[in-house]
Amino acid sequence: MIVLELAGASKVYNPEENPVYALIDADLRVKRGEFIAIIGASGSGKSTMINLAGCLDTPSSGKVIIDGHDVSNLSEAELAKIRNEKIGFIFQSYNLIPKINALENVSLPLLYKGISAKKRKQLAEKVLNQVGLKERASHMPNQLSGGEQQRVAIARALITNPSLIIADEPTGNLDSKSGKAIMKIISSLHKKGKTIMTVTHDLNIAKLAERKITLKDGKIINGNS
Amino acid sequence: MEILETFKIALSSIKTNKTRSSLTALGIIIGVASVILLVSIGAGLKAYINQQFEELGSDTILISPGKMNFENMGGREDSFPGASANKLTLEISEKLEKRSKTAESVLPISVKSLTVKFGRETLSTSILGTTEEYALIRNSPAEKGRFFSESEVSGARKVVVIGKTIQKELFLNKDPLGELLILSGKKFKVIGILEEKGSTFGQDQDNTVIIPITTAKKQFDLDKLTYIYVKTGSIDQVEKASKETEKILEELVGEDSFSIVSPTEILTQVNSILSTLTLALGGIAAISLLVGGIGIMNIMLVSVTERTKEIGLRKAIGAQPKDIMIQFLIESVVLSILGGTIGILIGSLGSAVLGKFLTTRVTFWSIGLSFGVSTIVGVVFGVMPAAKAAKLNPIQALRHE
Repeated sequence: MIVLELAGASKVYNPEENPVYALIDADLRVKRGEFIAIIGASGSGKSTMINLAGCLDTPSSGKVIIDGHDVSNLSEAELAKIRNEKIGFIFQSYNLIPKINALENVSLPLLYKGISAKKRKQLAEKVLNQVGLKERASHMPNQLSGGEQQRVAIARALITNPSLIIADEPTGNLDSKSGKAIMKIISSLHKKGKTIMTVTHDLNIAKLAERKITLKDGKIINGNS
Repeated sequence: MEILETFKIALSSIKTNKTRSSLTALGIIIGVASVILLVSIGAGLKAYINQQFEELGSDTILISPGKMNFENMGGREDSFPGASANKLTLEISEKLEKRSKTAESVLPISVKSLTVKFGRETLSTSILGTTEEYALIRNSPAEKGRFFSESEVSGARKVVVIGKTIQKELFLNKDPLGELLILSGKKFKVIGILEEKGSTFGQDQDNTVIIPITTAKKQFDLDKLTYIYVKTGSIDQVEKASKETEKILEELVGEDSFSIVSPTEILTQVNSILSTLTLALGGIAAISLLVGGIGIMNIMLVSVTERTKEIGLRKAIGAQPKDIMIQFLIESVVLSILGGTIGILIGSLGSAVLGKFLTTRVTFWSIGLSFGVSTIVGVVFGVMPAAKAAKLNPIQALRHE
């Protein structure tokens, strides 16, 4: 079963005056349960690729298919719905909302899904427990260490049980010890059958992945299947 | 997403920036409070004037000598009371009473300023010559003693009914009944004291003496009338009576020699002026409400910029543009309603305090209006920042530092 497919996906910024080809004719298939790493120098098109995979953006040409749904031409509102249901994001800088506590941060995606407050709390407690932060539920983000904040962010990505988890430099802001702990969690998620796509400079993370996709100047140069 | 949840988000964000939120709301508070206060002053003034007119009697019409052009208030073209052109006399008044079918009674009044003297005290006052019916028509019965009678009028007797001020100033509050009061050197017997009336339009209504009109004519040569009151008995008759009176007087004295006004008519004019005034006051105050609204818009724009990353995150995890829009819109509306409510309280309080010095009246419509307007201000000035937030591109928003 294919979770994500890029079929000849290209992204051109500023096509009229000064076109920038961020991604050129990319073909990629990610199977359910796969763990892939995207590597490449900065400006190689990694970000563009995960923006397309994460439905934050639509391709200039070609197709992006998530769980069999073509999302290439969806409106912003429809994309938001797909992101909410199918994608879990883990960012380099955690992106927790500072004025609400860990539990509320984790349950945020369910808010936009229209789940009741009681159910949200139950599910959020469950996923916080999975990342080992049960007793930190009522802490505000600024009361948590970087590693803990990233674990909260992982719990937030897990709460909707998404088809695809996208981790953009998940250890980039962390010291090596916290980074390892985060990698351990991500790798355990993979073992539980989650589909994970990560962008990284960290070769240790790339090593954990089953497959590495290398990008150069907007083109996939190896690892394609 | 539920609206209640959105309210919670908005409230928590207002709470996190307490100082900023209260300063923003202050703009609305000042605007609403001044609308409430100024409108209450306008409405109070209107109520005060209406009450004063009611005391004049709303079923009466007033005839004055000379042609008064009501369009240029007070701009009389020729004569003044007592001037030679004044053709209104006691005789005319009597003829009018005889011929009029709508008039319940016709009351001739002539007024003159002079000095009154008792013992060593003197006072300048106005004498009012009229008939015994005055007591019935103008609601000023004698509080002590009595008003003069029909026979005293027909006999042109030298009797006088005095106002409270005269009693205080000349008789030093002693009982004046039966005493002789000297009006311009002529002795009059005090037979009654008028009920205290206070002042109307700032004029002391109690500094007056009333004598029979016949006496006034005989003793002071007061042949010309200052006014003729026509009492119709009911407010519905005023228009009819006014037309009939006009017709009769045209025959008697000619159309350029008198003017007819009814208090109701004046009241309508005055009320329309006052309504415009109130509206203008409210309008000026509303400008500060507008400024308050711009304050809200300003702060919401800052808030959107500050929270760009949060907006990006919310969008990434599935917030629809409309969710973001509503979140910010509710925030600005909550701010403005908060300001509006506090403003209404402060405005009403201020108006109550001011009410100790002058008549104020907090009107229901000014409260409703300012509440409505402050809500609308919140929506109108919140839409632009909220739309800006809703339109943010999630990728760029997430990259924002």
